[in-house]
Amino acid sequence: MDLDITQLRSLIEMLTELDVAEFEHESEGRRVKVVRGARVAVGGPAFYAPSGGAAAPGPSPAAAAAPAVDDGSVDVTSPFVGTFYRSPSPDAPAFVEIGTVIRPGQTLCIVEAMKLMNEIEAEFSGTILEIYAQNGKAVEFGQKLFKIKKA
Amino acid sequence: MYKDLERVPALVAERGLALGAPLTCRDETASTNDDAKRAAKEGAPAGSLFLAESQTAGRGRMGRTWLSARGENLLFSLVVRPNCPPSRVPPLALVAGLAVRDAVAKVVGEGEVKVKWPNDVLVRGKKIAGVLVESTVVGSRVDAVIVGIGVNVLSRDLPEAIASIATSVALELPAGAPPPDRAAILVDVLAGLDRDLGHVAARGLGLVHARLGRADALRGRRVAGELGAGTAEGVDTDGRLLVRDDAGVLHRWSSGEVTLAPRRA
Repeated sequence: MDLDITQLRSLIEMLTELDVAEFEHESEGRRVKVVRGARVAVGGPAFYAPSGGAAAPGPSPAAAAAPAVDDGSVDVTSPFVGTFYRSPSPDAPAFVEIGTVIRPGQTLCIVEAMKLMNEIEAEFSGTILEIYAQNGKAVEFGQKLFKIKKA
Repeated sequence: MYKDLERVPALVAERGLALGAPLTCRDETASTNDDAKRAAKEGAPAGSLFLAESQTAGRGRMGRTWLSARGENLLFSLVVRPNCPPSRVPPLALVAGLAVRDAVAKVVGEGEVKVKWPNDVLVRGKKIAGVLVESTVVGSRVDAVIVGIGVNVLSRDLPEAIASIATSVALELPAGAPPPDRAAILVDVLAGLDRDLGHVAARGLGLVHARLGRADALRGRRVAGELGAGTAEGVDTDGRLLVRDDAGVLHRWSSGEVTLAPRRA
């Protein structure tokens, strides 16, 4: 038995309207659980609802490059909690600027955690469209660092 | 290569270590970390060891320089290729400090050899070794981790500017003791890394966490960093420094330089 997407939508709309954080319902061996603000999970028979929004099943949960909305650009995200640096040392020029044309293997930035200097390299050719993170500031796991237009 | 290090390949083979070969030794180089990083990009195998008798551009954190007199110390970098997600890499920086600590303690005695988070090695509060770990991440894949280590071994005359804050293995030995053996210390560091890097990359700091606690130079001490100040309360299982501020709130620091306040009288 498939999940009725229209029913699910109206259920979520109602829960949103009433500001219900979590809802769980079970009948005939089928369980529906909705947690607002996090994700939609469906248990019971083997059935997988896509969680939330854009992210299709990627190469891994920690994928550093996540497809953004379909304009041919991708976001590079931080692989862990740390401090974001745009240059190898305080008086050195930045690895990249907005508009820099990058090639695979080119260093984009350093994320430091526990004095481990982690160089994030480009996976593909493209152009830097946006630099989201600020030099010397803390970044979270999965936080967007760069927007890159794929060549 | 100076004569005393010629035994290194034989010692590495004898102890069956997965780290330490092939060995590239230079009389002088800009930075062994740069040598190792370049080689890693060109496909150098895991375990490759780059050693130099002197560095013209030795680096510490954020481009700071690391100075060393020719032939007196140990300056080396290893190529490691852990098969793990990027989030498992930062704890390896702590493993490196621990491996150096244990190798130094074996020579100068267990007592006052500690690790200042994340991985400076101190003897009686003076720095004897520094570690700089660099890694390269491409997408969600860890390409290589470069473990760079500098240990002051034979130096007896430290520059005046650092004599009050630095020391060497030779200076920590009793007067009249034979000079320390650079090759033995190097191979002990490699053995420590060989034992611990793999399981920490795979499963985290669990198995070394108690040893990190015993070696912790900061525990109970007043510390300050870019994120504030407080009292250090150890290291959590992700390798972050636990700091309790004056309001009693516990913080977890994951990066930045930490300075130690002088002990109160």
